[in-house]
Amino acid sequence: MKKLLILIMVIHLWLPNALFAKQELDPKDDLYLQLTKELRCTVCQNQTLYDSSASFAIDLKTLIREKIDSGENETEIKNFLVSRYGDFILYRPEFKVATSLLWGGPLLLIILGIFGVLRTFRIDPSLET
Amino acid sequence: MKKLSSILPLALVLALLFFFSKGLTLDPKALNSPLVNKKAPSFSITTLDKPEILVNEQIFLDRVTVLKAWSSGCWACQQEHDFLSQTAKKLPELQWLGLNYKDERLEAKNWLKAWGDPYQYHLYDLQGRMGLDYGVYGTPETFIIDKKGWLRYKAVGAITEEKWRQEIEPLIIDLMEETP
Repeated sequence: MKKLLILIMVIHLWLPNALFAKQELDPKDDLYLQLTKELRCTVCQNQTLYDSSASFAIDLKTLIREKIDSGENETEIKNFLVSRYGDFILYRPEFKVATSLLWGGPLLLIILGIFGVLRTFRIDPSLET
Repeated sequence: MKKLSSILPLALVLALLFFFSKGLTLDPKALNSPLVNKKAPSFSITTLDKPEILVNEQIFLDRVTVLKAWSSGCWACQQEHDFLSQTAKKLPELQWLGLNYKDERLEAKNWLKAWGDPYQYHLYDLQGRMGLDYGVYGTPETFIIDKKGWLRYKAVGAITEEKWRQEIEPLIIDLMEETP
């Protein structure tokens, strides 16, 4: 009985997945979703264009839709927006000199931290037998 | 080596304090425009008064232009309007252009009637298309364009007297002396 109950519960966990199975997307819609989820709404700075319904975000989304329809690819659209609004509009800015501290900073801090920990907890060789 | 490790914590704290104090004076809403020191993007657009006439980026040539993106629903635009109007009267040798951003024609005209119109004319950007090309994301925004038609400065937010004195006036004096 208990096993049956567990089985029923497991099946119920799986059911919603089947209900909300991903529909096949047009590659154009796919690109649109991907882009709008990676671009920042510069008016509402902690939202993506996808999340935002600010009139500025709607304008940009219309523009992106038009550019996709006219056959521009991901890089072309991103380059256009960066040339107008700067790297800040990308949630994942490209790696270049200006963004190197942004990308490399955390790694640098970790390395410094490891170095610091090793130094602090180093066993004094004179105490070793 | 002993000496270095004893001043290291102090140095780190000072470095942090430097970044924090810098952060206090920065406005996270004001983004540096990548368009500064590039050629002004091309456009073709009607004016507020004359829907039948198209103007393009040629209007920037041979004079220094102040291009002001504004809209009637924008509180900060009203805030800076008095100061800008006075400045425009003092400096008629500049070309003062408005870029009316996503307004109804009538509302924009009424706004100008109510608050005064120091501009030579206004470009009328109903869809915000020219705005997108110029990296406008909120009004007011101010562009300074040189005699060759290059963008040389952009400010986001209301222009105060202080900002004008410190940032814009010296630039304009330089730009006036350039030959087109």
